[in-house]
Formats: sequence, structure tokens, C-alpha cells
Amino acid sequence: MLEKQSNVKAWLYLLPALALLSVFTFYPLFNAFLLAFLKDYVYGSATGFVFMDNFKNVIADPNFNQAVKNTSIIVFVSVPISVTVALMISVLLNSIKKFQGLLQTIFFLPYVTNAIAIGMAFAFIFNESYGLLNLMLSWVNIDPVDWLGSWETGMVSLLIYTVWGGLAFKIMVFLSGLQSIDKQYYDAARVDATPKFRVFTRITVPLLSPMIAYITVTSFIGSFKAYRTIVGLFGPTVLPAGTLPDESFITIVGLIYESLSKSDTPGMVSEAAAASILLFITTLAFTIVNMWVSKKRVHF
Amino acid sequence: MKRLFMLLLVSVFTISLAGCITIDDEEIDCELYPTHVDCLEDIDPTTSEAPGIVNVLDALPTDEIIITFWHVYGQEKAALLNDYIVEFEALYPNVTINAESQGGYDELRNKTILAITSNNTPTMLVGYPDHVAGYLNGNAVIPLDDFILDDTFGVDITDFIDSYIEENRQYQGGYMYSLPYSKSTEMVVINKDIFDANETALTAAGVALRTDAPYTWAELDILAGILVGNGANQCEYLINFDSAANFFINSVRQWDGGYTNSAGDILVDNANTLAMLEYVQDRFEDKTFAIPLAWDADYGSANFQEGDSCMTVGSTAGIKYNVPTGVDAFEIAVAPVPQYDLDNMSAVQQGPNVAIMEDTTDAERLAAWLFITYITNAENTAKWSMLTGYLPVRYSGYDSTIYQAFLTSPDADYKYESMTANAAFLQIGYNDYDPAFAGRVTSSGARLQAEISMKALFAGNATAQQAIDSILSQLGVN
Amino acid sequence: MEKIIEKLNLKEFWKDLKKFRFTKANVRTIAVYSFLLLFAIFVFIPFYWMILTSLKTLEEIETALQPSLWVKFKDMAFYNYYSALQAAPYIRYMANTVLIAFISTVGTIVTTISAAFAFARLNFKGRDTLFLALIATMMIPGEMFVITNYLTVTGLGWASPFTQTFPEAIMALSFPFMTSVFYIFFLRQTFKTIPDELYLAAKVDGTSDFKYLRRIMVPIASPTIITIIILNAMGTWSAYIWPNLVTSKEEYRLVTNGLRNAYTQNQGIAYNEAMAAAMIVTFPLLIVFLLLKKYIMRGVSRAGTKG
Repeated sequence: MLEKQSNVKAWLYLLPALALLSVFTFYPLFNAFLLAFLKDYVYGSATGFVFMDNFKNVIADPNFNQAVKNTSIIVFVSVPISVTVALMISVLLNSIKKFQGLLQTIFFLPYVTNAIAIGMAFAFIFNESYGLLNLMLSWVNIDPVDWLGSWETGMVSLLIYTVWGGLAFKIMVFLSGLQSIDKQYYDAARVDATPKFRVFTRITVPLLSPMIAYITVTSFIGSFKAYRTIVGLFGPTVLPAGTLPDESFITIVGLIYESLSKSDTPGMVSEAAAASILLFITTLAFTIVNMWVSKKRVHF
Repeated sequence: MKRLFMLLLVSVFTISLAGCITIDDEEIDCELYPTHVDCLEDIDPTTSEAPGIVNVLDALPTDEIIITFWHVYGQEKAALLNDYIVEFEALYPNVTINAESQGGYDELRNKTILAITSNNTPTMLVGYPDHVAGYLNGNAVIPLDDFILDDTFGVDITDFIDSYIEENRQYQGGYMYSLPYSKSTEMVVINKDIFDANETALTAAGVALRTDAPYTWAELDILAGILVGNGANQCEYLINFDSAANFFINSVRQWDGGYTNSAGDILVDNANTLAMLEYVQDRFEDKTFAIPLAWDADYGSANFQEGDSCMTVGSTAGIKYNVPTGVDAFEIAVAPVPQYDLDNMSAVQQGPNVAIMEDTTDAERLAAWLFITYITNAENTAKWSMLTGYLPVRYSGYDSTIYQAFLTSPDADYKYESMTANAAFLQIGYNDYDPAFAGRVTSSGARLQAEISMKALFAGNATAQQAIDSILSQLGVN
Repeated sequence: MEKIIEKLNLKEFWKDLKKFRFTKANVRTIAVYSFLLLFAIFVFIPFYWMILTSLKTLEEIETALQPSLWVKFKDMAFYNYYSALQAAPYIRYMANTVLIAFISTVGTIVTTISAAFAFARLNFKGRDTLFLALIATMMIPGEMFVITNYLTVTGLGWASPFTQTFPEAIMALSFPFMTSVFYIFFLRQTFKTIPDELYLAAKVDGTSDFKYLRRIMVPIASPTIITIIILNAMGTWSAYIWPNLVTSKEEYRLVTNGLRNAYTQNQGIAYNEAMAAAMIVTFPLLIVFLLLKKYIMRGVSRAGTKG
């Protein structure tokens, strides 16, 4: 009886969010699943159902392998780096007194920086002849590199750019999380004269673990969907300037965009939906493993 | 709970099906959808008989008619358009025209595709041919032939520039689904000061500055011999081509090679296209030809103004970006784009057309048609062109008094626009359109691959054959 | 200016500097500040670029072979800001944006707090499955949602190209953004950091769930809630695809539409004016952030909440 009551109450609390989500999130999601199995869908009508054809077309795309490769690299390299860096910055920022407010504001600024300005600034940073990165390398006697000129160096630039792009949000989340930690724990540690690193591993990380889990899960999901940052750095062709498409930085979501840009052609929206579902399944499997592992390790 | 969830899932699926997606593989009912492409018979463009698919009213009804017109123009051009609307509404007091900018062309197209899906379209819109080809996949625009040939409201279609009409007739059946509106072409802007400084050498070589006829590619080689170098009156490159895609497409035509056709076939795999690319690659290497990639730029205008190239090919609608300003400003001349073969000349034509949507009433269609004919009449197409940098769509627009005055003795403020218009006028006989198609491979996708290949060729990352192979494999032709 | 200097405690900073000795703690402090400063510079460059570009003349941008990193005060082209303001009706767009940001933020806060509470504190059948289902919705690219949502909004008659009214535009612009899985997840995690003992103690005291949520959980989680408010407002500020789709009149659109549409028309964007416009649009956001910032960083004292 008591449990039933609590069930009803929980659903009441969920009602406002679920009502909106069913209309604007679940319903479109179901539609996306439906679209992936329609034949020659265009402008709201289709000629019938298909089972695998739309999925086959996605995999047959000449750039599919390249997209999988690029997406995997972005996911597995950029996320661990950016989460670690953001965590370090947040903890250190939280520990200082002087200039804390100023630095906090600076770390927030990427959020209000115009996308064009970001693109221009990084074009300057990575420029071969007068760029900031090559200038710094010249201090340690390393020859200039054409950072945006090929897939290999371009990927390094892209990863730097991606880490940059994610810092502001992650720092904000970690900072707000650090504020919710009860100061008593730190006071106790100070009384015991616990070394700082131990305080970090034994108090901060466990107590912040829900936030770390949040950032890790959402960052992985977000980087599986990476595409806009790439357009920001390499333009709409997502190619290093003057190269052929075998050096492309296309990602899975890039393929989805490409199909959607042809949504006036029969079947193309369905292909985008099919690609979305492939991405969805991969991300979901990955996230479940991720959550299962983190559940074991941290209190979540 | 689980059962309830499943029930919810199933019902949502059913609603989706019933709600906005229709499954239908039956034949089109032509009684119901007379303008559907499947119901149309091929039209003979030379006939003067109206096909009778669209009902043209005898007179404009007198009750209120509201027209929504989607375009892409920013504040300046929108204000100009608004002047025409005010005049038009004074002529037809029961008609209201809401003209709304939808941002850029991509935004306009994306929004229209969704609007067609939800039966929420405007009355009329501007669009490129490949947009219209895509809308036709949903039978969403109407053929205008019945209006064109109507006794009361028709227009003399032979008065429109021939190549514009061909462009608008390229769709299934040869029907005219749109009317030309804001057209442009390419021209070459020349650094006159440098040509003047080298006048003796150029005259001796027989390639003195001229704007009344195009240079040939052979002459460009001679020009490069004199003008390219590190000297005081020399440039790094002879000639820049702003749009790598146009450069590819137009050169293919000049070389009588293959690119695409309106059916969506990719035709680049042929000897002439290969020969053209090999020739161009040589000219890239000896710095006769360049594209903006040479300076890591999107357009070559800034570097042209800096004197890095002696000539630059760009859109007639973008002349103002090629007019030098500041202390080092030099004088410019404008000429038709260079040609490889004077017996097989070609210049690109671009710019949007205007179409009427299918989901409209007869009264709305007629009012929209009247508005289209109003903004494209001789005087208005001439005025619109002079103020926006586009070109008149009608011969009578060129012949109009104000446009003739603009061509021959322009106001000092419109000196360069006038030069441009003169160069464009010389190309009127050999403008070619880029075939539009919207299938698995789209004309804009083909264009993008042409651009990528040209850039890779310039950067030395591809041979001519690799450039062609890349286009073929990216567009799924093996 | 003086106030800022006072705030930075420069005088005290000097005093501290004079007393400086190389102890282990001091070396650590230097390392910490160097690390933070390095990343701060890295993070700051693009914003600096925006300010810098907004003050350059067009000639300088177009003709400089390599971009200069500084503009002298006398060469600063403040005129860019004036021209930028002429390029689009920013006042109207700004008013629309504030209104939409307000409505969608209030909605988001209400729906997010209650849903996050249910997920974090209440036990009900299917909780974990439902939660995973919510997270799973984030794994589909947003563009796939746009298609159906556009059909929904037009189906409701809120986005007709002929008859749309301002209230309809407001509903079309704000309804889809009145809740967010992303923030529900965020707040649920914050709620999870609050010890269970507090909740159980409150239950023993006979405090109702709602009262507990309002009196204890919301105050403790206020840094997160403020963060959500900022992020959500920011989302409205930078939205342009959806507002362009569902508004039939230009005057119903939002600031980023103005920003983009004014500068994407032609070849050769006037970057200086575009950046000046971006600065104008950014400014209110910065003010909001500076005003709310202290609420994020104010550690919440638990003294009063001890059960």
C-alpha cells in the first residue's frame, strides 16, 4: 500500500517533465525509428516498408569507414583528456582565494564567444607561418608544422580544439558540484593534516563522483555526436584545405547531416534515421557498459 | 507497468503512422492532382497552346488575397523589394504581400522542405534550380505555362533571356516551373594600372588590354609571360578564379568535356575533361592560374586588391568586393571571362528564380503570378539589376531607357556596376546553366566534389586522373 | 575601475609578494597559479580575438598579411559598433530573446527540479529503466528531432506562414525547450550528493517530500540550479535553427538569427562588424553571468540543515 502510494507520488513529480518529453522527445524518437524502416519516404509519404535497405545504404556510403574511424578517435581520445583537465582546473580553482572570481569568469568566456571568432582564433593558432602553436614550438627548436594541412596533423588540431570547446561546460559543472560538498569533510581532513593529494583522491573524487559520472556519460554521448566543432575548424567540406576526401574528417553525424541535406529526395531522411539508429545503438551499448563500470567503482 | 509501457509504445507507433506519415504505393489520381509530374505529358516548348493544367481565372477576384513570399534578402534588398510591393499593392488594393526573409538559401530550402511536408507552404518563393527540382519530388510547385500563354495575363516569353528560359524549362516534361528573377554571371576584373604599365610589351605581343571581347586561354599564357613575376609591375599569379567549382564546370564546357546532365548522370570520366584538368594543372604550376586557396582565403578579392593577381574572375553580383579602396587603390577594367575555344564559348549563369507553390488557391496563384510579372517587367527588372548588381532577365530590360543610360553613360557612383553589366551583356549569347537534379546524388553534391577536386589539383595533392576518380567514387559512380 | 582594483586586492597582493619565501607551500601555490594561468590564456584567446576584431578597420583585416594582435587606442574602429547596430533590429530581437529565455528557463527549472527529485529520492517501479530511457534520448542527433517537432508545432497551428500571431510564436519557440533530459540528469546527480540521512531524518520529523525538496534540497543544490539557469538562457541566446523554422515574421526571431542573417548574405563577410555585433549580443549575457556567478561559488553551509 505504502509502495503504491509512493509510486503515484513519483509519477506526479515526473508528470510535467514527462508530458513535455513525450511530445517533443519521445514522439520524435519513435518517428525516427519508424522512418528508418520506410521505403522511399519523402515529404511525409512513403511507398511501403523495408527492413534493412536503409541501413545497407548507410554502410555502403563511400565515407562510412572514414566516419567510423574519425568518430572513434574523437570519442576515445578527447573525452578522457578533457574530463581530466577540467577536473584539475576546477579543483585547483576551487582551492585558491586570490583571483578566483576573475579566473572563473575567464573559464566561462568560451560560452559567450561567437563561433566565427572561435574559428578565426584557432585558424590563427594553427597557422603554419605565423601561428601561435608553431611560435611556441620554435622556442624548443621544433620546425613549423602545417597543422591544418593533412589528416594526421589536422586530427591533433581537432582534438585540441575539441578539448577547448568542452572545458567551459565541464568546469562549470564541476565547480557547482564542488560547492555542494559539505565543508565539514575538508575541515576534518585539515585537523588530521591529511596530505592534499589524499584529500583529493579520498574526499573530493568520491564525493564528486556523481558529477564525474555525469560529465563522463554526457561527454561520451556528446562526442559520439561530434560534427559542428569539425565544421568550425575545417569548414563545411570537413577537409584539410586542398586534400581529397580520403583525408576527410567526416563523422557519423556528418553522414547524417549529409543525408538530411538531401531530404527532398525519396529515401534520404530514412537513411539519416537509419544512421541515427546505428549511432544510437552503439552509444547506448557503450553508455550501459560505462555506467555499469562506474557504478562498481564510485558511489553513483 | 511493463504492459502499460508496451501499450503506450504501440499506440505512439500507430499515431505516428496515422498522424503525419502516409504509406501509399498506388498510382496517382490525376483527377485529384492534375499538376503532379506523373500526370503531365511532355510539352513542346515551341507550341503556343496552353497545356491547361493550371486554372487561370478570367479576372482577379475582388475579395482580400494574402500572398506570403519567402526570400533571402537582407535589409537593403528587402527594402528595395518592399518598394515594389507598395507599388503593386496600390495597383491591386485587395492584395497583401508579406515578404519575409528566411535567412540564407540553405535555411530557406530546409524550411520549405519541412513546410511542404506539413502543408504549410508560402504562396511563392525564390530558389535555385536544384531547390525547385527537390520541391518537384513532392509535386509542390506549379507549372507556369498556362499563365505565360494566357490571353489576359500572359507574358511574351521570347522577351526573357533565352538561356534563363532554358534553365527554367529543364525539369520533367519541359514545363516551366519557375521564372528567372535575380540572375548573375561571372566576369573578369583586371588590374588596369598594371596592364597600362606594361602597355608596350602587351601591344607588341598582341594582347593589349581589351574589354569588348574575352581573352583566350592561349592569350593568358602570353599575358603570364609578361605579367607574372616579382617585378614592380608584375603579379604573383596572372588570374584568380574565385569559385573553384565554377572554374571546373565552366572549363569543362569550354573544352567540350562532360560534367553532369539534368538526369543526374555524372559524365566527368572522359578524355576532354581529363585533358582540361591536365592543362589547368600545368597553369597552376607556372602561376598563370590560381584559386583563393593560394592565400588560404575563401575569395581572391583581398589579394587582387593587394596586387597578388593581375586578374580575378568572380560573380557579377560581387563586383564591389573587387573595387580597390585606400591609398594604393588602382583603376580596374571589367571584361567577359576568358575562353579556351572561341568557337565553343561558355560562361556560367547563376542566381535564383521565383516559383509558385502548389498548395494555393486559384486567386492566390493569379495574384502571385501578377506580382512576378510586375517585378520582372522591363522597367522593374532593369531597376532591380542596377541597384543590386544582378542582371535584367528580359531583353526589353536591357533595351529600356534607364538601363541603356546605365550601360553607356553611368552615374559616377555606378561606374563599376556599369562596367560589369557591359561585360555580362557580351556573354548573354553563351551563358550556360548548371543542370539541376535532386536524387541520391544532387547537383549541389556534384558541384562540391568538383570544387574539392579543383582545390586538390591546385594544392598538388592530386593528379588530373585522381581528381576525376575522386569525383566518381564520392558520387557513387564506379 | 578603482572598485575592480580594490576587489582584486592588489595592495595586499604586493604585501604578500614582499613577504614571499620559497617554502614548499609557496612553490605549490606558484605551480597552481601557473597551471591555471596557462589554461586561462588558452581559453581566453578566442574571446580576445572577438574583441580585437570588433575594433579593427575592414582595411586592416583584409590587407594585413598576418593579423596584428593589438590595436592602438587611437586606431580603434568604434564605428563598427554603430554600423553593427544598424544591420538588424537587435533591440526587438533582444526583447524576444529575453522573453523566450525567461519562459523556457522557468519551465525548465520547474520540470527539472521535480523530475530530478523523483529520480534521486523517490523509489518507484521502473525508475532505473525510465532513467536510462531518458539518457538514451540524448544519443540521437538533435536534427532528427527537428523534423517531427516542426510537424507537431505546425500541426498545433502555431507556425502558419499566413496567420501566426506573436503568442503563437512564443509558444512555438519556448514549449519544446521547457524541459531537458540533460539538466534532469545534472540535477539528479547533485541531489544524489546530498546524504540520505538528511532525508530519513526529515521523514522521521514528518516533513513532507515537497517541503523537504523546497527547504533542503533546492537550497543545497542552488549552485547547480543557478548553473542550469545560466546554461539554459545561453541556449536560447545561441539558438537559430529552430527560431528560423517556426517564426513566420522576421520580427519574431531571436538575436542569433539577426546576427547570422545580417552577415551571411554576401561574399566577404565584414568580420569587424560581425564581431562588433557579436559583442553587443554577448554583453547582456556576461552581465547576467557576473551577477549570478557569486551564487555558484558561494559554498552552501550545511549548519542549518543538520537533521
